[in-house]
Amino acid sequence: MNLENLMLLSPFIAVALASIAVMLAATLWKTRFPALLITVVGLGAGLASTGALVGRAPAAVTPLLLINGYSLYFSGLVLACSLGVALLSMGYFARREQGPVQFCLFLLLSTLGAMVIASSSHFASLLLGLELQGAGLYPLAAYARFTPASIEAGIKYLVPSTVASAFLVFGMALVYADSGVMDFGSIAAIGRAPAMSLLMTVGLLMILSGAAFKLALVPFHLWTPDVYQGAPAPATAFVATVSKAAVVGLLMRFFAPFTDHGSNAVAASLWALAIASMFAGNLLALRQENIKRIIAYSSIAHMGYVLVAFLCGTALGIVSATYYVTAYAITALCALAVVSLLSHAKETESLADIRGLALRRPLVAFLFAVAMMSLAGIPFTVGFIGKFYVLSAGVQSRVWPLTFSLAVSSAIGLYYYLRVVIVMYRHPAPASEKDAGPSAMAGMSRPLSAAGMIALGTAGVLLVCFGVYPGPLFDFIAWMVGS
Amino acid sequence: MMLVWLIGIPLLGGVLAWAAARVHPRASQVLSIAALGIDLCLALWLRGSHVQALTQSGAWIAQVQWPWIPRMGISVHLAMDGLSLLLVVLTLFLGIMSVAVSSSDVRDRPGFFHLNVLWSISAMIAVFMALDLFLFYVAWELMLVPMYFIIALWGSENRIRAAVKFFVFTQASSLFLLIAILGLYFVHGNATGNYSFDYAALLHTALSHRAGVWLMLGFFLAFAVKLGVFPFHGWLPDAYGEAPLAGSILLAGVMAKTGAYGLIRFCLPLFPQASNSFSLAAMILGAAAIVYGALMALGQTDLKRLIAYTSVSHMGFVLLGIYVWGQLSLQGVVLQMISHGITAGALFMIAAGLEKRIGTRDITRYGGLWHVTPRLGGITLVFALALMGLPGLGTFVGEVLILLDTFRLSIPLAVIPIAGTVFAVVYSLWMVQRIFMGESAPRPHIADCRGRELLSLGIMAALIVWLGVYPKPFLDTSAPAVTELRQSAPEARPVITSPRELLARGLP
Repeated sequence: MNLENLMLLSPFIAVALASIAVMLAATLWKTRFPALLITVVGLGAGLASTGALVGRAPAAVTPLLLINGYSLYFSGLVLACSLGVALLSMGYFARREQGPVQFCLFLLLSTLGAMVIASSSHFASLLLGLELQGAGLYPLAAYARFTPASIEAGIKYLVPSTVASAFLVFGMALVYADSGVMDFGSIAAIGRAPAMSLLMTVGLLMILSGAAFKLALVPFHLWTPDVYQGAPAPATAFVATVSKAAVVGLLMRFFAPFTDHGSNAVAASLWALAIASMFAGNLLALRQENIKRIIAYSSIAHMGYVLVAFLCGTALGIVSATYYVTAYAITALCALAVVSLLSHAKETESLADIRGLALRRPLVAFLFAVAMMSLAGIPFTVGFIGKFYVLSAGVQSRVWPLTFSLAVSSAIGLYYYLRVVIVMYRHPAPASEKDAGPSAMAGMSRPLSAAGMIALGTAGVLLVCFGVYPGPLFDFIAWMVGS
Repeated sequence: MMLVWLIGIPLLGGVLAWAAARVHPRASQVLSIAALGIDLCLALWLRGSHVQALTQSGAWIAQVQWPWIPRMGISVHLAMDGLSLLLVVLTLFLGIMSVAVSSSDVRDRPGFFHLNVLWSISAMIAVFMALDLFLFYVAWELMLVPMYFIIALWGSENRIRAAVKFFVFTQASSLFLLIAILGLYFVHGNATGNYSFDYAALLHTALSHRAGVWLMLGFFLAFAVKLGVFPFHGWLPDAYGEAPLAGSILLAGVMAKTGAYGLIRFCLPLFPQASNSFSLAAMILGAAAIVYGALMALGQTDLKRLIAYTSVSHMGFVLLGIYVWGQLSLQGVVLQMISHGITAGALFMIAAGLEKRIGTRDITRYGGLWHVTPRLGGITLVFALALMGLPGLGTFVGEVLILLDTFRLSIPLAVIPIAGTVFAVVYSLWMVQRIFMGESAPRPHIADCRGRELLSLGIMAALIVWLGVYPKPFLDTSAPAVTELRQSAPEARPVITSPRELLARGLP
């Protein structure tokens, strides 16, 4: 371990130090502010040091981690999303009895795990990363421990996640039993070989199912709506952005060699997962009345879109998939930032809660509408550009079943995004209804947290900027991922 | 630069109108009309100052191009020829009319209403001028969003359902358009190495027959849904019927024309061979739509839905004329689009006026209004006559030009639409009869139209007469553009000489 390696690990070190500092701060000060400050500074330092590494030659730090443009991009994305979630949690917990200190700690640990996943080049580091990320995520989901829904979310995430991990480990064992290797480079070489043994195929499929669980691809999606609904809004934002981005990064890095020729079982399963996710996600979201559940189902569909680009197996496909994940992360952060900002004693999550929002909070409603338009793929939003790139990749590679599934399912999806938008612009329901009592109205007039508004505003601006002028970001991704 | 202003002024005007509503609702309306008026003057000035360009075949009146996403070969490329100019003028004219007559009904959030109206107009103008297919698609999609808000927020009872149906139908078809655009982009790029979304570059792309047909179908589907071609019209009666007045005018008057424009500008010139082999089917669809729309109109009792179905019928003529791809027929299509825009706009205004007076759109509950509102009756009669294509009114010229060229191509295809016009006589006269003649139900006093309503309807009536009596300025404006389009895709013209051969050829 020389100085050069330490440099390359600096983003990891920054986040790890921050998590230790949060623990110390929790014992030294009773107020919540130092922990939040340390978290933001730590994540910011991680992001800065990731930025400083851009442009370096790819380097393996121990056999476990590979730091190249690709892993740096995904680490950066993870850190940026995590920073957004930290800002959101500042405002969110200011209105609650429960302090944010442990939340910050778990956030940092889980982020560290996500970064390890994105940079891993070996089964050992992958497993470490996944477990670290998961271990942070269970308490995040169950963090509002006085509400049964949150506890339920924690358990619902914990139990299937453990099963998925077991599958993953078993898959790794099978791959190792067959080939005797554990590093991704050697496995990629096997993937490029024309034939694969049965043991190897089964092992890879088990690893795939573990990853599919983390991405909530159909049929591994059953935990998603309840976790999204039950977890506190910032934790939901974390699940929707950080953990997705990291696992997509892993998926593309690990399985790319297997999609070059589409005749093997792994590629076929990915095709099936993609099509099933696109349709099931969009169809199941149609009848939902809860915004967080809508976002949960829509995330299933969006991960299907990412797979479409990835399955093209071309350079454009990989870059498009990366662009789409970025677009989705920005949009989901923007949407869930609104949910988080509007939540007070009780979460603002049903469509009835946001009815007439545009009349009371025009800016927030506008940003939420833009986020929904971005998810629906309306031009001048980053989601449209993402969908455009994904479709380009699909058309270029002539994967017509996937391309048409994307078109049809996203037209279905339009229905529920429009519902959310129009609800905000309608007049509030007549006051005679009992449930929309004084508490909801009182919550609507209080000031919104400044930190949360910064996160929302940044996400909103990026959402529109990258939607209107996507060239530079696309070029940057192509340069990072291509190198 | 003028073209950018044409798009930018309504955008800016919309924001100003939105802000002005906080001061006074009326200020918002006045500002909107002012912005559209300035824009209209700008468009007319473009026409006036570029007469030279119009007489030379193929010359664009104005053009701008900037790179946007150079890596993908996307640029902001706007251009205007006679065809675009006429449609832009029509858009702005109907825009002014719709703002002028409707805002007294819009009590709820007038600022946001005007913002949406102006932005949708701006996007429609962009559709008529975009020459980069990516830009075209962006504008094509963006014009839906404000229109969706207009229908969903200010429409009548079933507005949200109608708005969602409208958006989902059109967006679903648009996604196939996007796939087709990308397909063309890659075919062209792979063959030439020049990856570009530019219209000029993509024209004359060599395509295999199979690829050409599939890509053409992608374009056709999107445009046919917007045009409301039978059987892709499912969303149309709901959207036209439930939208508020301004929405109905813009939907029928302008947005339907974006579909026709897309066919003329993109679908046939980009895929001449494929369109040729498809043209018989398209022409049959057009002829069927003429008859179907007219028959459905006969069966309607909701006045706005009745007008919506007459639109389906008239857009059938447009589709027929486009696929005949003759100089006369295309000129006729242009005239038909303009006169239908004015006629449908005026009829929706009349329908809104009647609804305000009687309190219902149910035509069976009208009757005997002639004595009470003679002026409104007279104007309605003018537009009812325009609906059935009476000589001396704009629709007649358009239909005759289309049918002339169709007749030269194939007699049966010209005979079916004529049968349709017989039904048109029935539904239009019956409509007038049911509203204005017969026994009057006992009802409180109602006022005849006067003031702004009379003025705007009068202007529109004058225009429809002008179009019927002296259509030359319009035809002269569109002629070079039409000639140029036909020259760029001569293969698109179908060859059908006799009914026997028609039968022998069978369906493609």
